[in-house]
Amino acid sequence: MSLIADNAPARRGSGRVKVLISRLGLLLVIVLFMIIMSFMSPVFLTVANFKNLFIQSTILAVLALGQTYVIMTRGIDLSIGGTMALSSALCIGLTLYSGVPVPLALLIAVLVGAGVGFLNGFSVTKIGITPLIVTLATLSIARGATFVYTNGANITPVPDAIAAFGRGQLFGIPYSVILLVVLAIGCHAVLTRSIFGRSVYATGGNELASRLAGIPTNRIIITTYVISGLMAAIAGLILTARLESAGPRAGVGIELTVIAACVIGGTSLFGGAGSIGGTMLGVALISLVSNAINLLGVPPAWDDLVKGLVIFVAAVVDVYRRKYARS
Amino acid sequence: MKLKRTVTQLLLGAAFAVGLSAGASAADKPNIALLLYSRGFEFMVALDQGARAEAEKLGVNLTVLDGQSSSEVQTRQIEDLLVQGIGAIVISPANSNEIVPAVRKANEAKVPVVALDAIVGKGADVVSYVGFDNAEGGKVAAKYLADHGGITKVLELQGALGAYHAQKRGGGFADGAKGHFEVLPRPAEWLAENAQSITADMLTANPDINAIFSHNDEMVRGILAGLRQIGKETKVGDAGHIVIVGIDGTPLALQRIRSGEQDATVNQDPFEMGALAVRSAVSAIKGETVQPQQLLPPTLVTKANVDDASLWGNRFKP
Repeated sequence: MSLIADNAPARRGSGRVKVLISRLGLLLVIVLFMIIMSFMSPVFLTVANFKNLFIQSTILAVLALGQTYVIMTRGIDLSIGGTMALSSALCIGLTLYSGVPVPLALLIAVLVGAGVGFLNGFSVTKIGITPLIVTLATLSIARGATFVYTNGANITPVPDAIAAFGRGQLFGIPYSVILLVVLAIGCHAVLTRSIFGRSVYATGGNELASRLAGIPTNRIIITTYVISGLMAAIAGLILTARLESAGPRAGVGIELTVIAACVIGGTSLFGGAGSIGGTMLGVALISLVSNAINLLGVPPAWDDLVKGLVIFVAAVVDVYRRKYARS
Repeated sequence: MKLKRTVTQLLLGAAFAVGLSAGASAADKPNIALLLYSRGFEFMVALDQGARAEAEKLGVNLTVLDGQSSSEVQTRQIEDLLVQGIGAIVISPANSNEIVPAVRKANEAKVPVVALDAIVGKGADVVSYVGFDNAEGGKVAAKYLADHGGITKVLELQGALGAYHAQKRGGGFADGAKGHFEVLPRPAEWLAENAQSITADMLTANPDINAIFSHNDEMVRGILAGLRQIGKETKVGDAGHIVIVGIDGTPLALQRIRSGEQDATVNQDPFEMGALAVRSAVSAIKGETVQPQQLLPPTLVTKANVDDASLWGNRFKP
């Protein structure tokens, strides 16, 4: 198994400190950003605001977990927003209009997510369509199916159990945040400790060599899309639980933000490199920027400009940080 | 043999049909197309239903197309319709300015165009603009908050930046707010998800906000989730209640007003709007004069009149 790439950056020479800096790179950007913010807004460093931050980043984070796997195998999944809307609308619609019990509806929702993911993975590996086109098509199909199913309307009320999940807390921590932590730890463990995880790194690093070495690369790639579809369904259900209604426009345009979070977090669009920890830091930075813009009351017209600039600066800093770490 | 017979039958049938329609005066059943910018909103679906009902009443063929929120798609739809020899086009543009060149093509082909719900920008002609008085809608919301008493600081959740409706609603609201309360505007792209995080963040940073104005009722879902998130969800009339006003009068908004989660909404009537647009298009085909601008007035819906059966939100069936 010597073909399998080591996920740690280069460790040669006097690299210890440099490795540390390279690992901490994005974290340093985030800490710097937080220090600046704490001077600019009196409420920034409050428990209430951090609770908001965690809650607001969960959906982005759950989606980014799945996307990390996909991007690591050189894929991309644009369909997540549509999958979110479809699976959550189906879940609530089935309980409300068709009398399906909640647990079964939840299962169907998650299976629909996995199904879209499988369709994506199958089309990429077996039919040989580029991931960008496949998932653009399934994005449109899933969103379109949601419009057909809902006829543009929101579906409400959600079953009590689902609303309770959206409102519920354990020691002051919302259930959705706890679920995210569990999912993140799970995804991290699978990626770093399992044969599948190592195969993901290998397939992304060099698909042909991996296949020759006996790794079932097609199956690995399909699985990454299934994971992404599953995460999209879960994200959709979390959103629905919070809004206490399912809407056909859930997750419109979220895919690019999710991809940005993964890439800022060090997942390479060329495959083979990335980590769940990094992705979570990417999500944290993007969420921090949105939060800061709201807290500071940036004039509406400047909103997108500021968001874009911060993401750009973070990406630039990250590139130089990595170059420095490797030299 | 069989084919030949079928063809003969078809020809005979066609001749018969032509004879019939010629007998009942030729351009009797005009073809009209309704181009909606998206079907992702109840409001648009209701526009569709209102237009269809009126078309049936007037005996007009109505084709409805979904623009998928894209000017490019709508441009192609107009081009295709012109090739097919459409009688008139009713369009609810995704973007008022981007659609101008396509509407100009319709002008050149002498096909009348009615703008519905949003205007068509300068550079092309429309027979009429049928819509909701968005600026007045914003003013009605501001007046409700000014008359409410005790309102000092209002969070305004705006629609998409640069969107015609958002500009008008925001402008009217700002005018109505002058001298009564402070307004903190935030763009939320019409989306409930964005509304949730903005509401939570803004109320954390400005705990003295005591009312929220949303550019549509859809975002109120997110506002309520945001308030729940920071533990500030209260019913109408409770101490410390944050007053919520939306625009549209969707079925869900009326339900929330009934249950005391939302204070008020500014109602606009998509059934009447869609019907008026079809009537205007038919008049234009007949060569009658049509008012260049037909704005439907906003009305305020509160708990007092929420059960009014004539409200579209109470009549709408998806």
